[in-house]
Amino acid sequence: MRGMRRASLALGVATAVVLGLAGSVFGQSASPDEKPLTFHVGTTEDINSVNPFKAFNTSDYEVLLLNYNMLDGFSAEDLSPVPELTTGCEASSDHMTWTCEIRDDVTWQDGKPLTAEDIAFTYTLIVDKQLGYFVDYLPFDPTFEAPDATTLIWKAQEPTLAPTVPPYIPILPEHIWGKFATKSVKEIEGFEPMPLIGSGPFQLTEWKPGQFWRMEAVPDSIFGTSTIDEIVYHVYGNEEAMVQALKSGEIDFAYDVPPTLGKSLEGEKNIKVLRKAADYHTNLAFNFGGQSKAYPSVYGGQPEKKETNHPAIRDHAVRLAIAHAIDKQALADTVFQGAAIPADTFISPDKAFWHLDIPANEEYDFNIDEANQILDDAGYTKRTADGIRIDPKSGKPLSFDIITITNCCESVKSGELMAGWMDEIGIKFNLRPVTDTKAGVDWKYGTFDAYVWDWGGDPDPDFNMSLYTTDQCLGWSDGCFSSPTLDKLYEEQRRTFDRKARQAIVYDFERAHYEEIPEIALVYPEVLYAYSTDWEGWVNSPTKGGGPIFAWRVDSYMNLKPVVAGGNSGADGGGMSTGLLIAIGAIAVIVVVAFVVMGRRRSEEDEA
Amino acid sequence: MSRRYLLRHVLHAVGTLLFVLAFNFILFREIGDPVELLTHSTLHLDPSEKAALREELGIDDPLPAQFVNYVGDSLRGEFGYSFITGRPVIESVAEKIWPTILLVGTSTILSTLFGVLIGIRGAWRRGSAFDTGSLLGSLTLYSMPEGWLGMLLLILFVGILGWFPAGGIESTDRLTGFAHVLDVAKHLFLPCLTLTLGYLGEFAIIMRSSLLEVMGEDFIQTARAKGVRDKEVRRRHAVPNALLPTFTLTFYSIGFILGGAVIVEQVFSWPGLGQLTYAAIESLDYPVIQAVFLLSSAAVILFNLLADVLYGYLDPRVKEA
Amino acid sequence: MITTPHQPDDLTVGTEAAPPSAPSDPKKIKWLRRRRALTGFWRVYRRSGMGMVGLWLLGLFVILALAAPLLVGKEDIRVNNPPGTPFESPSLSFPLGTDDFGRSILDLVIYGSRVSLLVGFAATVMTMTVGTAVGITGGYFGGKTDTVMNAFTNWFLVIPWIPLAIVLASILGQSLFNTILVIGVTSWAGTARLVRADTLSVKERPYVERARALGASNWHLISRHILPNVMPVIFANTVLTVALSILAETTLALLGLGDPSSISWGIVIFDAFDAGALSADLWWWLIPPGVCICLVTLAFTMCGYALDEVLNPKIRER
Repeated sequence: MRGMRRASLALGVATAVVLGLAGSVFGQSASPDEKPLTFHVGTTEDINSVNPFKAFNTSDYEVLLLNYNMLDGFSAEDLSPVPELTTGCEASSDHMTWTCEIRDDVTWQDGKPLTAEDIAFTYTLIVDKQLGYFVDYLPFDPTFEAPDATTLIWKAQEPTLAPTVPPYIPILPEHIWGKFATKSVKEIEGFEPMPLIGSGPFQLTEWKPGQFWRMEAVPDSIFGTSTIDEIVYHVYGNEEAMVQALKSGEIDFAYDVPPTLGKSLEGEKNIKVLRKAADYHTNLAFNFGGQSKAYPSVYGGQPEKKETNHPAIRDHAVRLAIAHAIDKQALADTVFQGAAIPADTFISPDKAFWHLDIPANEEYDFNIDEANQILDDAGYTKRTADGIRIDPKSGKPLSFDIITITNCCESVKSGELMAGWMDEIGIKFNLRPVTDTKAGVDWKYGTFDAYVWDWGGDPDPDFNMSLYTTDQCLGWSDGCFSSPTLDKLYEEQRRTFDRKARQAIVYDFERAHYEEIPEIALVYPEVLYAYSTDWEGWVNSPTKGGGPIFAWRVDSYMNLKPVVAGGNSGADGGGMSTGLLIAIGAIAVIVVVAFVVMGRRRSEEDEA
Repeated sequence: MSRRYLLRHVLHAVGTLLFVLAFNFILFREIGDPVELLTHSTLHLDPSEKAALREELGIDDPLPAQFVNYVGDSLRGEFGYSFITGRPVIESVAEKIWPTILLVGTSTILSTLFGVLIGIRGAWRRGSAFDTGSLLGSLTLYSMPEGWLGMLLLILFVGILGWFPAGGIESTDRLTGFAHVLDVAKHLFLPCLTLTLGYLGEFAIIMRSSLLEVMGEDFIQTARAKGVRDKEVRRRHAVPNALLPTFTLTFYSIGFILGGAVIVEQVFSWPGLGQLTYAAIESLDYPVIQAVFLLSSAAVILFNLLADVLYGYLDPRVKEA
Repeated sequence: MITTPHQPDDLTVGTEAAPPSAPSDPKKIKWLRRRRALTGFWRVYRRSGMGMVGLWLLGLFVILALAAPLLVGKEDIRVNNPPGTPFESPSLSFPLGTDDFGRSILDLVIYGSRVSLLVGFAATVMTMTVGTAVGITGGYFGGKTDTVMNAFTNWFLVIPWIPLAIVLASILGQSLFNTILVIGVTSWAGTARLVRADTLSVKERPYVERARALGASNWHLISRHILPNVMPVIFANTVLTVALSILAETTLALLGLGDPSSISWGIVIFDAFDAGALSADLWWWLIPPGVCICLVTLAFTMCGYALDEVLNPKIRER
């Protein structure tokens, strides 16, 4: 009996060893020479679709940036427009006709040449079909012509600076998309060609939704040829897993690491943490009502519910008091772990030319006493049994329905802090945490009093200013704020072509915005990136305070190369070598089985 | 097993399925106007295109007709198009269903197997160190929230030891053949371990109770009195009788294991139906949610039916019924 | 005429002293019967080591939950003006360190016991009420009523609970009440099925037949005969349901569907995860709440299985 037991155990271990060896042989992929030089990026945001017209999140835009070219790009220093497909655009004296000279040396990724006709086609398609996210860059019903392969003529119905904004629109090949000129929006948005044919330095060749997408390098683009052969973007369900992957070498770059995780990475040897100056702001945006009036012209028909905004929100004194009851520094320190700057205006400081810095002594300081005083003076003296002030005009207590967004920008935690401060001035914030999609439904009907969200923007401030104009109600406006002052200033800057003069108007707009309080800009959060020091060639965009990728330029991708020769991170997909794991696993199984079996034998012997 | 028994249970299953379809249909119709929801991301849609869409979706047809169409479509696998990506729902589901089947299937088999073995050993040697230890262990595992257990295993095996990848189902190295199989196995290990441990405890306890109950039955005493050896008693009489309720319980638990898979897939970034469901619900992608609901309900109905059939086949008392 | 005191079949309690001169008042007899049943029951339960450990643990946590407001002040768990600085490691003043706002994690764990237990109990009340009502109604009345109730129950049994929970949470919003509602809605069917099965068997018992022959009304039969005899099963199931409800609340919280402005153990773990505790190896934040959940669930489960042994003489140790 004993001998048999020992023999079977020995046999088991031998099998384990053999399996382990087999595993290590088969577990390897191709030899290092054949393997492409891959750069692995980690993100928690998957791309939405391969169709360019459905692009709306950061990952989608990164694909567009790499896969396609645009009319103009952004300069490395300060993101001002630089020629890309065009060598220069000239305006007529009335600024209604623009003539752009197009390069003649660009080819599509399938070999065909790119001409001005492709640009004219792309822009015309967007204007004709009013394709959502791009059409705002082509205002005043323009028409486009390409009299020859290198000339594009842009004719707008009103004077405009639109070609110099520049339009963030990927130029599509007419020979592939041409047939959609006569098709419906649904069909256009449903077209999913793979690989994606563009003219950029990389091409989207594979997408496994929820897992990863792969972009392969295309030589001889406008920007040259990259050192890396391909980029693989890994999608993670949560930031923790992404950071683990960075630590274990599965990925080389982690995008948008939350501040606490960033802190935990600061001690790691091979990892560098980069803080990108914020290019967006979080806000407490108020709802002023009027959605049901605007609904028919935007959506057709009547809305299913009417707006429910509290009338006291429209009182400037209330908003002013709230502004004084928010400690923005505390928000930055506590909620963002110090990775944020208290905000003043809605144009973030990285847009140095346009950002207006409100002097400290003119800002709304965090002052509970003053907030209380303002409300007392404005007549909100009566209170409920719980201490909430009552609006004398409507008789309703100042109890507000505040939406916080569970998947955005520390909105929930910011809301909790603010609710605490509001208690001290007799205002009740009833927090309602929902996902951004659900919040979109509330936004559409105006069924909220305020929400805590964020706004990013282009280097050119036009879009961000438009958010506070009357026309954008149920367009891009948060709460249908309407002010003749802001509307007037917006129109003025749109038609001012001298940069310095325009800056003065933009400053006026920012100041008026700060005083009228359609929203309270809370903080400018920093974005944290973490990457492996095994790679070099990172180029930030903009050079001061910008990020290396998921930014406005492709320089990093073109320049990146490994520091150590043949550094192939991500081999075996992370973790220990497969062979060793199998060996360990097999031995463990053998031991357990042996225990159970031997135990059984022993019990038999006992009973015998 | 009599034909009547089989027929009765099959009819019952079909009936439940229809009920599920009806409820599904009503529930998701209450969410809101389908045309609005479908087009809310496309900001500018002219009225004629909207009308065409209403026609296509059959919104204005009478309700019973819509329901019949709905059932027909569902049976054919036509679940409509995703509100977010516009792709046919059946495609997204087809992509994600195999990873979940792999995960849930492997975990169920392993947890049942080990649960049964441990339960048998514990019940037979009642009061021994093994019994107390395994009972305590099983109870503890049963009491652990799966998500938390998954996080702990993640810290241990990935963060501290670095033995396993942090998530996903495969590396992006374009492996083929046997290497690919090994790669997937490596990624499968931790999520499978989490799910297995989560249910192993429950099955061990049930098996143990079930076996103890059987052991208290008269016919066991009779067999022992007749002088049949312990091992024989166990193997021929006690275990098979106790196995039956345990196996049927396994089938009935599929619904819960599928549920547990949702959070395990989240923790380990496993690209399965759980992940799809969670993302769809976050973005209010109703066609996808509806389809997943329907499919998982159908799976549970199927397994319940299999359990009933298995019971009818194996349990001699039912054979005559 | 009453000869021997009648015991419900399920409680075969064994030997005990003969009653002192039996009072003639039927009500008194009933109470005497009940008390004897309970003491006998308790005596058997006490023999189960597991059951006693479970009971002790349970008692501990209940006391903790009740005493929480005395131990933890409201200011200690507010996010504004927290007592400490964020992310402190364990120290004498903060034995479990501080969270990302600067609150003491020990305070959070103590205070979290209230919501965790509250949700557990409240959801269970809902589950048991609905489940018992549906189960008894279907089982007792049979026929069409039963078919309808059964179909209803089957649907809820079959529907995958997490997707349903997620959908309900996203439609109704994330609040404590909705969490309780969601768990109740997804749990009652299991109880209903159990209660129905037991009702069916109790219904056939001789004393029920007798009472019906004597002309008792349905209500009388249900409340005086069926319900008390189904009680043991309901009781055992209740205990286990509390355990499952607490686990369900944790799962919902970990998926981010809990009420963010409340504090439960599940929410504490979720907040920890969200704040990067996993990568930063802040084990003192992640582990204690999880351990509490385990212990409480374990306690209920141990009591539940001890009850199972008490009520099912076949598996009791000889």
